[in-house]
Amino acid sequence: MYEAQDARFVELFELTKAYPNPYGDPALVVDRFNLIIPRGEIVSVIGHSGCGKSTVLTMIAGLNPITSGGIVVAGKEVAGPGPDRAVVFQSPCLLPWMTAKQNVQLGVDRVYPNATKNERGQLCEYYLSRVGLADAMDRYPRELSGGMQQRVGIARAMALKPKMLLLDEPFGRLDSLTRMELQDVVLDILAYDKITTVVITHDVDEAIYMSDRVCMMTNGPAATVGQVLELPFPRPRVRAEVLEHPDYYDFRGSLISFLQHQEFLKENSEGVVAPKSQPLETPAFLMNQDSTPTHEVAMVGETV
Amino acid sequence: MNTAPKPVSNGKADPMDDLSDHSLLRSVEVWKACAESQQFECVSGHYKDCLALSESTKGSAEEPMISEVRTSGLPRVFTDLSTVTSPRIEHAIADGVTSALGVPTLIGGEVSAVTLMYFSEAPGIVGAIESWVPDRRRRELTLGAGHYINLGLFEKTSRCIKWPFGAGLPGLTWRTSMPQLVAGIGRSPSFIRGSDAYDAGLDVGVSLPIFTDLENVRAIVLLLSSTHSPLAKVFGLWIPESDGHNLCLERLCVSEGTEAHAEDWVGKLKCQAFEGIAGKAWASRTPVLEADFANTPTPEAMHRVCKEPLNWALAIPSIVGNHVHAVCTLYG
Repeated sequence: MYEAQDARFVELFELTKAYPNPYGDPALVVDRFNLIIPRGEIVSVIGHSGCGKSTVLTMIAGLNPITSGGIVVAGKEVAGPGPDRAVVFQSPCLLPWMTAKQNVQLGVDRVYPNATKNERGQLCEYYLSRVGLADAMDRYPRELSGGMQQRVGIARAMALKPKMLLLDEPFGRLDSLTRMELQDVVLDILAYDKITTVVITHDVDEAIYMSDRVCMMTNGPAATVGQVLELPFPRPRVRAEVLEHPDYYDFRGSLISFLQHQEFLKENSEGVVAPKSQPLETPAFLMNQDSTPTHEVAMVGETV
Repeated sequence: MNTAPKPVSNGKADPMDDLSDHSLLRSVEVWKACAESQQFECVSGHYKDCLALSESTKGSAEEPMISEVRTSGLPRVFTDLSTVTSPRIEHAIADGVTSALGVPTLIGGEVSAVTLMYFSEAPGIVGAIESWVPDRRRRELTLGAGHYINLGLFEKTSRCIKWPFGAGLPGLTWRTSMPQLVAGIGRSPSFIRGSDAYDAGLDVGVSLPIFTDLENVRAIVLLLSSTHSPLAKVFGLWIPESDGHNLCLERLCVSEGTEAHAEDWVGKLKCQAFEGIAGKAWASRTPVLEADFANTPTPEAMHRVCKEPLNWALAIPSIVGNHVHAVCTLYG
């Protein structure tokens, strides 16, 4: 029983989100999204801006009502927000009048009301140390850099000891070096705590480095799972080893091809003649290839 | 319809332009259970130029490949025919055949027939044969077996791709429990690997579901072929009408370079039970192969759909439980 629950620790079943409009024609944002995540797995979700990635994440977090379908986390259907699912957003949104430790302790006090004050304090200090802020616990947010503030945000989420961690472009506002540093910090904690994690990201390299699987979302409206790429890199991840893996650039190319195809479909659906063009982050081996589909093929009756 | 030869995606001249015959599919056979011997026997075959294979078929015993499909109830991709021990296969190899695919037809979960397709791998021929099988724990399809002919990145990444229920062409086939036809897969929203497929020169995708019953998918077979090495000239998808009296042509897909007035026939062309190969496959619930399609006693409407001569035709019923959900037809 326990093993079966571990295999389907998080289950998104036909997850659908539609927003009503005054014309009685609801705007379908996410359409029948299916994904099963075993306990401890890290899944990245990539897709073009506005496709509905964050909508999926906020539905898992319980912050956004589901139109139809369902979400089950650890055998329990999600009906609203709860401390079993912690979220780290792009901006940490720390309370400016509280120190780093007080910001972390705010949630800990609520989730562990039966623990002693000392125990709660120790928990906060532990996670702040894990994210490299052992010497900055008593600083106020204004005294912290953007990267340090995000570390507080990560510690705040981890200290709740959630069953599931939801990262919504957590490193999107950070410079490359800080981003890589924080990726390692998060992976280090996740390796120890074995928390099931969903990462929303635009960065294909981040997706490959951090995840066990990458879930690629199709364009909205009515976005859904396009395909899932399984990554064979062992854990713990060592950045140099991942980058030097013989398949790394093939996986990278596959993710970029997916995004290019979605871009082409988007342009085509808007009546724009498909210019293939300045691909996003095109790796060297894909350069000098015009991959714009232009050929004519008859297809009648296709409804999909 | 644009019939002019198209350049491949990288803009270079196609190396196959000067070859007269470079079809991915070299031969097809339909094997059915023999009432007396309980073995499967070849009831029809289309061999084109595979003369040695054709000769060796007469009176042959059950093929090892057929036995494998029959006992497993799953599609089998034979990527290297030299590993299959059979005198017939030696003839097939002599004819230039390099790989094969066995697709079972299941009625009530039991294998009633096997469609055996033979492929060749000459330079310039591009194609993919995939069998996607369910991972029930994750409710997704994973690659059970794949054979990729002259495909680079497409092959590499396909081996790591998974399709959750409803995702991509295999997932959609699973959701609908119906075969799917996709032309121009490089630009189709339903073919997720479109960009890689386009770069590889793939053009038409056909998916065939193998179901035990509505709740249990056994596999989804995906056949991907290119403009220059097509699997067939015309592909049709026929669906029984709600009253159950007729089969109606639901979709029609024409390989690039083939002249046809597809739009005039979709939704209008109908056939009754045992009428034409689609009607025969529907009524008999077994695959039907017409090796001499150009000279059938009763002219098929498909000859009017396609302006070019169609020499052979294959109809594969898609059965869920005991019911035919659709019939997929290939004409070449």
